[in-house]
Amino acid sequence: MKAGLLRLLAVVVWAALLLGGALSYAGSKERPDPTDRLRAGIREDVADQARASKMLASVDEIEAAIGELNSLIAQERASLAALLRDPGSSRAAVDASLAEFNTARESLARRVLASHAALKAETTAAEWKKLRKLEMEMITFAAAKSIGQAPAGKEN
Amino acid sequence: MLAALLTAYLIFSGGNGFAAKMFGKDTQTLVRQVVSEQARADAAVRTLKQGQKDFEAGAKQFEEIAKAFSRADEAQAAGLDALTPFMQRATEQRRILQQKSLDRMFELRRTLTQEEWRKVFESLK
Repeated sequence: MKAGLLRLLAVVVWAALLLGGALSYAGSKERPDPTDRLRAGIREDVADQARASKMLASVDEIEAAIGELNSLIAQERASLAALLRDPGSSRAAVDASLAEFNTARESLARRVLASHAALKAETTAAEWKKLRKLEMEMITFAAAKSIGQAPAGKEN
Repeated sequence: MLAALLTAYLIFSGGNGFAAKMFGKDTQTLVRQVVSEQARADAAVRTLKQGQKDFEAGAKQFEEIAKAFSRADEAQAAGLDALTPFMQRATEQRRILQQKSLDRMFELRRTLTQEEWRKVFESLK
């Protein structure tokens, strides 16, 4: 799984680098959303309802933060495109804009990491071994979708 | 891996999405097409190649952070305190790559005329 994820990461990086988003996202409607699969996995594998509820709340928080990240990325793209297109824009103006977006992005990334840690903290070692794979698939899917790549075949 | 993947897509889909496209081989070809003056075209391509090199080195650094995070994250006992340093390293790496990319973009912009810059930039959309 780890090797598979690293391969996907490499694909995402190189696709962004070489294809520039030429591949479009085309998610399968036949498979459940990876986030829903993680929720189902929690309900299935965690018998303790109190712990399961806390884990599901963490999943909700991760999903919400990723949604906010995607909106922020769209805003940043638009803002930077306008600045960089203008041959008269100064480096200071670009740096100031990036600094603002970086602060917001890093705050959201910390939120996701905190929710990830909160989810883990509620699991047993055996549960984590099963759920980690599903959580990584959720994140991988969201990451790939965010930059316009289809993570087909990595959903299983 | 979670934080690494997140930061990865933040790197390559945000501001540095421009860098990813700009430092690709297609842009080098495009620059050759739009810049008729050989010396400036050569200078611009050198800048793009250096940008590509920086970008690939940054991706390599990032992959190492991702691998280290993935190893640490396998243990259920690895909580927020154990994982946060990886995110901090990834964030730092992203900022370094971002600044290097901007250095090259502004260097390229100084080499090109306004019209040439507009043509190259429009191709990145």
